[in-house]
Amino acid sequence: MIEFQLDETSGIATYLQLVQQVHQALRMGMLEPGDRLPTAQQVVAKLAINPNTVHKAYRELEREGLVRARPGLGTFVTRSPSGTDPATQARFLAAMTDWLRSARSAGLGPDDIEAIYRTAFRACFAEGAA
Amino acid sequence: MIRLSVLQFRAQAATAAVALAVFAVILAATSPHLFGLYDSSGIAACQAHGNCLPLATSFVNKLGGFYTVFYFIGIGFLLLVPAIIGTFWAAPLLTREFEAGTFQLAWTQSVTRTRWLAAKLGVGALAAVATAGLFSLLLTWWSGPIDTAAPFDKGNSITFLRLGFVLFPTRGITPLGYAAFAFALGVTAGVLIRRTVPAMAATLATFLSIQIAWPIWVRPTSSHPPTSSSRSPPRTSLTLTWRSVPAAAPSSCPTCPA
Amino acid sequence: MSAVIQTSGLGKRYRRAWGLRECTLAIPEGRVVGLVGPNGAGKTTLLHMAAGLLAPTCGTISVLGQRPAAGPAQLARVGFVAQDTPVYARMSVADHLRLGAWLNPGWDDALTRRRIGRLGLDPRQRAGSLSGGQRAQLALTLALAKRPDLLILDEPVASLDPLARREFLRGLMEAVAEHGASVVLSSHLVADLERVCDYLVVLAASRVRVAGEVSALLASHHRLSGPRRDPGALPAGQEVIEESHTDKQSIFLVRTDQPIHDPSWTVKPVSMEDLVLGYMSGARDDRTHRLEVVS
Repeated sequence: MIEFQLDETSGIATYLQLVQQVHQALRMGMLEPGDRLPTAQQVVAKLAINPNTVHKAYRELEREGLVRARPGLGTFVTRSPSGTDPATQARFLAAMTDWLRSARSAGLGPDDIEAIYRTAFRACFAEGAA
Repeated sequence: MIRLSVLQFRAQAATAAVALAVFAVILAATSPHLFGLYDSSGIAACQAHGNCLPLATSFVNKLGGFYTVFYFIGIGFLLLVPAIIGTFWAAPLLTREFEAGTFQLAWTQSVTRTRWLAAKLGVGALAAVATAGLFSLLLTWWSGPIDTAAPFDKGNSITFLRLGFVLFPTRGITPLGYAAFAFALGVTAGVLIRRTVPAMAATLATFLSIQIAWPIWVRPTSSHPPTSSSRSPPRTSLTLTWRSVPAAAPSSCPTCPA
Repeated sequence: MSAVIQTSGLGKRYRRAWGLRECTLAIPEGRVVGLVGPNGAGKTTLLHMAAGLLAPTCGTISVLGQRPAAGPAQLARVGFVAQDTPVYARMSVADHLRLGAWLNPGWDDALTRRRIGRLGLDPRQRAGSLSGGQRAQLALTLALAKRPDLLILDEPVASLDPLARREFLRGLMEAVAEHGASVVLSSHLVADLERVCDYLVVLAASRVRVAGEVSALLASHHRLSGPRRDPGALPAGQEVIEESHTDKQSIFLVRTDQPIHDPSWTVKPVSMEDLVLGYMSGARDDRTHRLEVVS
């Protein structure tokens, strides 16, 4: 069973941290389809957070299609997130590195690059493309 | 809520029980001698007619110092019991809850404030009256013989008037009334003052003042206790002291039968 | 969704000053609500009125749809833990549980035995000799065991060490997970609330400054920094909560629902702590400004 942790200093919302940790566990193979996620009570007993936060995180995961809640039984992993194989990741990492190099030689500084990245990121995911 | 009030009252109830037990033991141990002497003294038969003074004198002398001391202790105790009840039971009843903040706990259970108050006051008042009543019962019963014998001494007759300063508040049901009043006074002080020690002090001071002032200034205007009729035999001196007194009756009374 | 606490123009006046004024709130059910503010802001006043311990001077308040402390049925649905968790010092832990069982019809005995066992409290120990953390846990047990629909806690962890604080919040959240009660929790420490609250009410200087879901509040507040300018220069629809200026730079804490397009601003998100501090210092400045106008 996955053990959640909370980083209070990261500035990332608690429910998002839980979602990210599930993603990570799926990617690393620590969670597999069919595994049960801890109940809200179990998470709360460990982390002393609001149970609504846990429910929110699980609802988000369900929305992403990664888990399914079965009433009375728990929340179970249904599939791994797509595009997680290491080869795909390496390809995009190489493309990103090239882009960064050309941006730097064009004269853009780290803050400019970050601003551009964030704008594009927000625009892309706000359109609901999951 | 009644159960809780009783639970909160545990310590005071224990103190009262211990005091009652001590008194009960002493009274039980001494009563056979006391009542035996009284019965054999013939005072009861003598009362309606005749001169009982010699009988009374010999009865008291035979009793001895301990009994007379304890007699006065009983009187003093019954005078004090209502004051103690008012100061130590009634005044802190509510103020302790206010000072400790526990009223916040008590008023947020599932009983209304009214019910809480009614139970606390009901249990407390009942306990106050019952305690005073029990002490009065015991001491009135035990003091009976001496109460009867002592007034035969003219010098004592003021002190030992059944409706006088000393005996009226300490016999029969009067202590119950005083206890109820002291309880009400203590609770009122607690509600108005809201701090334990000042409320206790105020209760004690007020109660004692009233206890002293009432018989002196108020009671005489409201009641007129019967004075002795001309029929009763005149009395001659009998001094009720710690040491025994010679049985010889002084010849100051001209109409004493031979 | 129905409101678990609803107030309208609620106010309480003490002898010389107002403890709370013009408080209008509609706290939804099923939330863990954090009530934050500096000492003397009116948190205890508000919570005492919600628990039926104080009567309002003006305005109305309804808790679970009824007047607070309206009767035994309403009292049974609300659990209260007072500041400094007062207990009867001379009564034992077991006596306190008996108190709860006698005074509450819906008493869950199994829950108390479970909790007291897990906490390691000795039932025969006098409550006066418990540590602060243990007393707080006892008070929480008493409030939870009556199975309330609403739990009100007045600065329950203020005087506890960090471990005791975490344990208390853990116990509280476990109970919420198990029974689904709404919780209103006051504190002057934001860090505690960040972890557990999903609805926030900020009180300062006896008034409500802001109230809302935490996620919505964090999404609608931003910190803008840029070259020095007046608040009036900001576009309409952006409410300034707090401002600070140097001779070259201005930093504003704003509340807005619209995106900020002006590229001369650096926009950063705010943390809950910054948001609360911003409203509290804004409240302080409010007062100063009002005084200036009057004089």
